[in-house]
Amino acid sequence: MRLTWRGIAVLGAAAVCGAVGLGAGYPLVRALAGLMVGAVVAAFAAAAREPRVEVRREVFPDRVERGGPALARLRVLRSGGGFTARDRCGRHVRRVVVRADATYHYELPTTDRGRHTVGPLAVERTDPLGLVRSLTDTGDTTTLWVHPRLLPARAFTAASHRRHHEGPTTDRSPHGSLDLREVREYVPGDEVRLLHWKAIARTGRLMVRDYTDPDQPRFSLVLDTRHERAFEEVVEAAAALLHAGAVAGRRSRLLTPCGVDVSAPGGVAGARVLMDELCVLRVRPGTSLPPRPPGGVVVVTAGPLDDVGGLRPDLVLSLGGPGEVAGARVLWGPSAEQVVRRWNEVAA
Amino acid sequence: MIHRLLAVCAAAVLAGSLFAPVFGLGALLPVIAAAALPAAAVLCRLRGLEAWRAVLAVAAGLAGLLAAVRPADPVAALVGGAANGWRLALQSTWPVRPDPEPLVFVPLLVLAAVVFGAELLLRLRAPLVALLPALAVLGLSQAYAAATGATAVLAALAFAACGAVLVARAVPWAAVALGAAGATALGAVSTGAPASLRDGQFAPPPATRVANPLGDLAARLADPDLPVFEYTSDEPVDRWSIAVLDDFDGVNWTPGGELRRLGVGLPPGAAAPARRRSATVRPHGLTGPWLPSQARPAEVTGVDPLVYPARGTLLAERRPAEYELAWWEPETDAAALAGAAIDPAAEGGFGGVGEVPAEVVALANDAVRGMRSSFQTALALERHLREEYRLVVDGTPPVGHGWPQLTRFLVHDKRGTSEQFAAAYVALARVLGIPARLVVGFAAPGSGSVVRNGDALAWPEVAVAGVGWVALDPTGRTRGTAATSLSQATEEARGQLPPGRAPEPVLPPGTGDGEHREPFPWTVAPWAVAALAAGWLLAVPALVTARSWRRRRAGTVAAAWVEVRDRLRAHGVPVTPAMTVRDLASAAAPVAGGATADAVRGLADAVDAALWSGAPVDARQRAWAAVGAVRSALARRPFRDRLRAVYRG
Repeated sequence: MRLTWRGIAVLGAAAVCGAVGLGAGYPLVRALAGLMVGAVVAAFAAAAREPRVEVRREVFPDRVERGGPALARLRVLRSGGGFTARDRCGRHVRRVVVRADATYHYELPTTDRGRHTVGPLAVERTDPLGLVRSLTDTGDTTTLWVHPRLLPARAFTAASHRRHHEGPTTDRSPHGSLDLREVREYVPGDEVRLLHWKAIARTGRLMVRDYTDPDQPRFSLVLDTRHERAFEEVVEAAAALLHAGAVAGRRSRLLTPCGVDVSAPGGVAGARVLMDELCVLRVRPGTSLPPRPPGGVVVVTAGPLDDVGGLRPDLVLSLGGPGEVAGARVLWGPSAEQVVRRWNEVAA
Repeated sequence: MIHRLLAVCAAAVLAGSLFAPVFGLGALLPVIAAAALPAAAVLCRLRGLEAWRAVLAVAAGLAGLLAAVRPADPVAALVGGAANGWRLALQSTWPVRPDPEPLVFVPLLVLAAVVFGAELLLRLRAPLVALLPALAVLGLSQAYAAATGATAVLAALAFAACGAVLVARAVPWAAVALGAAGATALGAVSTGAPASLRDGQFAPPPATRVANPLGDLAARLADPDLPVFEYTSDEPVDRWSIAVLDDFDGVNWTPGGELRRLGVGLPPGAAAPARRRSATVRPHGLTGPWLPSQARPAEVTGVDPLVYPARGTLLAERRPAEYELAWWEPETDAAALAGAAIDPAAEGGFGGVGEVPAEVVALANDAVRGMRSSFQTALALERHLREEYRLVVDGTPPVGHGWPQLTRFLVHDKRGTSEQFAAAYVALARVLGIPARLVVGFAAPGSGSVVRNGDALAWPEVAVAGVGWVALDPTGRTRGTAATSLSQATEEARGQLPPGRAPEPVLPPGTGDGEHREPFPWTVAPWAVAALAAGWLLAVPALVTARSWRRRRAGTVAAAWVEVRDRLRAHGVPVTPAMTVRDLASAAAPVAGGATADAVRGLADAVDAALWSGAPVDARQRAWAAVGAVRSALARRPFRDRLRAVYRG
């Protein structure tokens, strides 16, 4: 329970009137001061009543694209109305003037990507003159996920094909299988079991078999979160690629310099995992790129392209500017929309 | 939105109508309404025209104002009124004459408050800001003439009601009740006389040289047949005053006091019942700016004079051919006058006497034989002058009215004209502590209504409590006396004056020299005791409740324990500092019953949980639930025990 700005102004005016009235001896000005003080005291008395309000708030859907509609439904029971319900959503506040018991709908702001806490709902009561406001928190909080905006994109094809198998692979192989990826030179720490004797004999050096699990993602997307410039665009471009792939049933993996490393199976559930992860990404300058994951690598960045050469990417989506990366194709565009359009052309 | 606009307009009109003491409500309200109503109508109709509504409202308001005032030169009236009207209103006596120039500044202020307020209302989101222009007008009106008493409280309520209309969503009954209480409480606080802008504002004296009429007296007597002015009145007039001189520096007598423009009229004053009389005056032989007048003028038509309000002196820049004077003539009787005291607070009564020669002081004390100052003393002094001194009628009259001439008149020559008689009387009266002043004027002519130079006269007046200024005649030869009830009463009082030393006048209560004390007001004492007792009866439960509330707000287990301990102690449970909670429970059982003891044990569990459980435990709710149980258990005790507990806690 505290004074509104109007209440503060009225009290200030009362102080000025009282000082003038007492100093110069004007009974009318003194009476005005007394009247204003009396009105503020009465406002405190009126606002001190504990509101008996029962409200229920539901938010649907709980995950929404940025800019998409998210509705809150407020059901007011047994209150008689006459108050303002203030619902917080992130840094925004929505006000609903409740005049009677009814169900009220209002839209929640979805302009900012992120995970927003909705509520608690505050019941705001003011006295009839609006001098004093009392806020009572009621109801619980729910979470609203505002995902990045989804641009239409083509699903990626598997970045490198297995040699012995044609056609789509199963995503739900219970144990995985062993698939020879390459034979490479031994580095200390490799399992001795995997020594490839034939190759050793042929080359004269210690060689090992490098196996890979075909159920592991073959498509990895490295999202460069180190640059503040065009960060939302970068996230949107990444979201378009990952979502399209996941919806098409392909496994994918998301890596960022800030430590996120999520592998998601294909399907709607996998898309949701990736989107939720993209939802909470923040700019983290001063971090370093992760080591190169196996398989095809796509880098989405808005920074200088020299940085990402170490990852040996197959494809670079650059929103920072055009450039060259050794061994990779660079798609450049000033916005996520244009980069994704370029991707669609390339992926066709 | 319309009702808000109308509320802003109503607040401005209300603030403007608080200038009523300056102009009179009858003169003020029509012009305010003529300016404010068209402007309000335009603002309500055209409030969508954001760019033009203010201009159109001002134009409509000015047109309405000019239609109501009808000045000869509209532009000059508006500009002059806005520039000088406020000062003319301050320099005039109130109510001010309803001329356009002093009057228009109030409707102009109201119009400005209406237009500015409406613009603020329509452009800002804070509706109360729209009342600030009206509040400024209200403050100015109070700086002119502060409303008092019930008027002030009612005006404040009306103004606040306009503000409530601006913001209220429902009728704020609580705010109305508490606001009225606050307004009455603060409006009734007495803080002395209100400051007024009028205090330092006086009309400038006329540009023509102001001749001292006392110095002209001898010259007038030298040429007695020259007519000075003529008057027509249905009843005889006692005398005509020209100037009241109440400052004496030992050489010159000068008029004192503040000069104002004469407004619509002057009130009769609270001194004594008065009768209104009037006469038409045609001055032709007068020199200087002075106009023949009376002690308490009521109204002057035919000329716009300046006036010394407390003295009745009239001055005019330009002498009119004819004017009509109405005045208040006091109605009194000898009984009221005979035992009357002097009025030491009368304005100008103790103007100054310069350096009084020692022989004059002795002479004054001899003349009244050491009597206290009273009206009887004044009459005794008058009788002394009448008996011991002689009026010069023929030949070369003595001139001068400074101390050298007065000393010669009083001590050596003992003969003089009314100039010396009046000046000496006033100086002696002031030496004796009687408030007196010197008036120069004309006595009523013996026959006809033409006043000539020979009727010129100076006379003293003394201030009498409850009556006002009473003219005396130390020469004893003035014609035309006893024409009014006051002069008749004075004559009767003269007749009742005992020969020789008069008895001491009865002192009115409360005006002693400090030895007189107010009796101790014994009747108030029982009330004071009763008020103290009632205050104690109310204050003790209030303090206990406040203490309990503070602990509940703290909400800790320790506060719950202290609360329970104090409550049980108040109910007569023997509590010692070393007691544990369980000890208290067993001690409470025989006094307050088993239910109380059980509730206290519940508190003991909570205290144990808070103290000994080894991990952070929130036992506050349990503890305060136990407090509630103790209270409800104690509430079942008999009423007498609970009453005793209230005043023991």
